[in-house]
Amino acid sequence: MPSSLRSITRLLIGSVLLGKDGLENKIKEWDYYAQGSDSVPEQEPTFDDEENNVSPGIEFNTRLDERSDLSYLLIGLAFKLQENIDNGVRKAEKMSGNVENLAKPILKPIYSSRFLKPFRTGFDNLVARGEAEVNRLVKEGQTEDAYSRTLAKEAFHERLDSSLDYLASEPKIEELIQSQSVSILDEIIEEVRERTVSADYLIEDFLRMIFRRPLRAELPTPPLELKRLLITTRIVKRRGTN
Amino acid sequence: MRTSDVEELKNAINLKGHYAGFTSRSIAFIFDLVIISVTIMFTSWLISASLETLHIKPFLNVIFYNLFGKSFDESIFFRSITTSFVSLIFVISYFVFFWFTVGQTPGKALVGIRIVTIEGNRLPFWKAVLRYFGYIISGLFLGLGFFWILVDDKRMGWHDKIANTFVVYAWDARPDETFLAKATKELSARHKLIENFTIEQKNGDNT
Repeated sequence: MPSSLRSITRLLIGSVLLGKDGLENKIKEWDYYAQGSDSVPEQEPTFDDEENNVSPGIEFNTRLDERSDLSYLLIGLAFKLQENIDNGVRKAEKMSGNVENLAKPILKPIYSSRFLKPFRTGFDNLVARGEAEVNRLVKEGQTEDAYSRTLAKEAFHERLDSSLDYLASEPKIEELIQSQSVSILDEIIEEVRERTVSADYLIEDFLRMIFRRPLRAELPTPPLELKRLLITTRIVKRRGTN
Repeated sequence: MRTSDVEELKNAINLKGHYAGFTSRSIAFIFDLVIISVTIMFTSWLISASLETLHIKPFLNVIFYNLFGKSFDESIFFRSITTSFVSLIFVISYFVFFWFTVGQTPGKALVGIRIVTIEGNRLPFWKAVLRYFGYIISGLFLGLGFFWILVDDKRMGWHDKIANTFVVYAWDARPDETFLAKATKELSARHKLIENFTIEQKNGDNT
């Protein structure tokens, strides 16, 4: 099972790599546009594109050969550093325990000596004061933790609200939403109309079938004059709107 | 299929100006009824709320008592007669107004159909009124006049025949092909079932 320090290292390296890829692609794009080219340059696949190819638990991907050895060396070094820090911390912990075990029996007679009582009392007071200070700091930490979370949430929501307000008041966005809504409504109306037209023929045929009347071979044709009038009206209307 | 082919196909089956069928007209009518009902309900609520809040009811009670010997609250018969009359006037005005001014009610506009004279023009006022009374005649015999649309070659109901009007598609109408194909399939399957059942029955009778 990986340690939390290793996970943090992975997260940091992943973020750096992802950011680097994104930035490289963006710079390429800007470069193309700056040269006056309209087409979007072919972009290198990012980790987002690759994540479907990588199964969970497998720590390598298909781009292994494409990256330079130097970047892999740096990544490897970063993990080595993390391992060293991890080992160092563990060793220091072990060592402090050993020192404590070793020094305790030797220092015990000195510590419990009557001559050193004033110093001991002073030391105990110092420790007590230290403990009180630590407790106070813990309490403050607890309060500040809750307060900071609330503050961050508040700031985030306010930022979000103001961003949404800005977007809502932006005429271009408003226009876009309106045009989208209108086109959706148009599509719905057209769908309803198409279905009713279909149902017109369907129900007619069904009833004719029930009453054993012959089905209509073709649609009843309206007078040509009528059709011409409707088309003329449409053209006149279009000209009017233009 | 290319986009141009789709456009060509759409133009080929453009039913604009063709006689509108029973379903489209029924949906439009139902939609109009909803509008009318909501409007009447809202208006009556508004009137009764205004009478309550503006304290007009006591005055009405006095006036009604002097005129009919009953207070406004007690004269239920008179109130229902007045409400029905006002509602009827509203319903007639609704249809006649829209047929005369734009040639289609909001319900018909939603479904994309329009009422025209045989010459293809908008209805004159008297024809719109005549068509409304045609509605009443169509509804008299269990709505047979409306169901006439299903069998008539020009999809005309009795009210259309009385006022000499057509109801036509006012948009580039085309049937929903997928829906139509699916429904036809189901219909033919059902038709086969009915046929088999009739044959079986006949055979049973013969034996």
